[in-house]
Amino acid sequence: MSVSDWGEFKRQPFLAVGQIFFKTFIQLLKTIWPLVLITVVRADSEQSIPIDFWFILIPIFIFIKALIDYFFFKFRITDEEVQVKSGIFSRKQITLPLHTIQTVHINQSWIQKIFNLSELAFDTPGSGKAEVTIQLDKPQAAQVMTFVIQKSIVIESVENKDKMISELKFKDLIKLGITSNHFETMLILIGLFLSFLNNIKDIIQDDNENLLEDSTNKILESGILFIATGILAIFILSVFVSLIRTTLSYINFQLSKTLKGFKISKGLINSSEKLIPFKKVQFLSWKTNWLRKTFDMYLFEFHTIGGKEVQNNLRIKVPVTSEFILQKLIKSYFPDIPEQFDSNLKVHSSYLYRNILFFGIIPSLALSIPLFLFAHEKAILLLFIPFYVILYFWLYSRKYLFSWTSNLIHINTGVFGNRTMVLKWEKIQSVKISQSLYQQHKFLADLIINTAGGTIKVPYIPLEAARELQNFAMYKVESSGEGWQ
Amino acid sequence: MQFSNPDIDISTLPKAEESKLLPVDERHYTVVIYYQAMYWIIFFLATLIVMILNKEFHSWMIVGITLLGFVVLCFLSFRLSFLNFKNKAYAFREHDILFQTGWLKKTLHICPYNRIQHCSVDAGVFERNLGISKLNIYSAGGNNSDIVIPGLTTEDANSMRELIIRKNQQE
Repeated sequence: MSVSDWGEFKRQPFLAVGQIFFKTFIQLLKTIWPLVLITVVRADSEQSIPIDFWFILIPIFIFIKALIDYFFFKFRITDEEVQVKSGIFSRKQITLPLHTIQTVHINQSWIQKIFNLSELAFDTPGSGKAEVTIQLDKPQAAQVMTFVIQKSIVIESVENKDKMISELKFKDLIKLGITSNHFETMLILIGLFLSFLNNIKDIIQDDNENLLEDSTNKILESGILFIATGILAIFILSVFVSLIRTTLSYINFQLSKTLKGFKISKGLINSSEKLIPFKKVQFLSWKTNWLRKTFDMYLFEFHTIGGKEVQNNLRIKVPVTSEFILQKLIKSYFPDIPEQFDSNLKVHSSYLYRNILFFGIIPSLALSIPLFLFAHEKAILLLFIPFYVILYFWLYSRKYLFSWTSNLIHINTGVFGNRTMVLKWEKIQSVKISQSLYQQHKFLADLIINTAGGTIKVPYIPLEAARELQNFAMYKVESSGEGWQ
Repeated sequence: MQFSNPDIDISTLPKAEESKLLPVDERHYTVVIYYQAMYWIIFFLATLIVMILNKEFHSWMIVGITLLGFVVLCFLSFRLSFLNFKNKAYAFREHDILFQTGWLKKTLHICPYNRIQHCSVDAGVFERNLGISKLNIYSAGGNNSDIVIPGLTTEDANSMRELIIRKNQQE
């Protein structure tokens, strides 16, 4: 791509007006739909302004806004920076130096598909969300992405050939759907249903004010079989919705390794393409649970630079469908990862006892005794809490294993599933040793490792080991020429 | 404990725990006392107003228990602040900064110069009057990873900031 094509300030393709129009329209509709519904339902009552008037006025208003947004949004891409000017009353100018750009994404929502546009999003460290987004034709977007990536990272001039690491087939999608978190889907469904009820309550409140209470009472009065059937139906619905959700978000999923980083593309309705430069990856983690393990499935995650919000918005999670692919993925980032580690640390046994005491026994006694004395005898059931807490922390301390070599840190953890994290020493930002009074007395400590991709805590290890690890981490960070980004 | 890598003799690495830490200035404790006193005075006045307005509290026993509770909490809070202050110490090494803090939860935080993003010096109303400042050191590791060293004379804080910037550019 020649720079001169983009060096002057220019507008987005004209079709972007349509995209802005629809986007604003949908955003507005999402906010005011209960109001719209009320207006339609109560159309018969006398109103000072007829509804038709609103139906014409609002789209005109949005169209004018879209035109203004389009005409006053200009961008240019030079050898050094991406610049964006926007706004009519409050003029805003954003300049992103190319070398600070962390990742570049190409997203295509269904609205953008209609207008044959793609959204190019750049993000930089410290920003809450993708800082600059530009609408372009798909080929243009790909061109700009390649250009920006080339400028943002110095690479050797080797032939750019993408190496496919993994792609999901239909069978994998089904596996992924079945093993996904149905409980989460169920909560989302219940949440959606409740917010729907809440929204329509205003409309139908005249005669059905106690709709929710009535139906709850009816359910409580009915037999156990009815409730069981209901729960089963909700569960089946959740599984079904999970399957659809996973299929829609992971269809066409491809993960490949390029010279500059990992490239991920996925999606049917809202498609997206992400490029994660190697240097921006702070550490890797992957997890599985017993169900996923049965299907040989893992959820892999790249922890990149950025605050919590960035990590949530632009989280880079990769479903992995076999142990072989998982190994390939890990080796592509850590070629020298050993099978076995000589240096290992486990959490001290007092971690288990103290957590059982503080999170199990004390809270359950503190809650159940007063409730039992003053409220109801069923409060005695609260005494079962410690059993769950015992199981939880027993599994956690049994699985926790902190291992290291002179190049990397490897942590195995998890409670009901397994989670593994791998980190290079050079990616550490700072290290803290923290000791409670008890730990000071027992010569134990928590080691807290801060990276730009998140914090890792190693609880209850011998103080001497924590100090040696802290000193070693500092030695690695300070003596190595390799930066963290 | 032995590391697996034979090239590095762990015993020869510089030990952070053997570094001589400098305590923060006494005036920092005065600032802490001011803030604590303000907090407890407001809390005391609020409790007093509630007790005057509410007739249920008009008994010597309740007044006595409240006062006793108040004195105990006040004492514990001041004592804890003092112990925390006594444990606050810092050291500037050739390649990193050490900051120790806390009594109930004692921490030793080390941040290398080459990971520092930026640093600033600031002072509140009380601190300005007493001629001390805080040095804030930010790295890319998020809030957890930032270091705030209070109780430094303004000149010291500024020269430390200069030192950090210089070291950061060198590394």
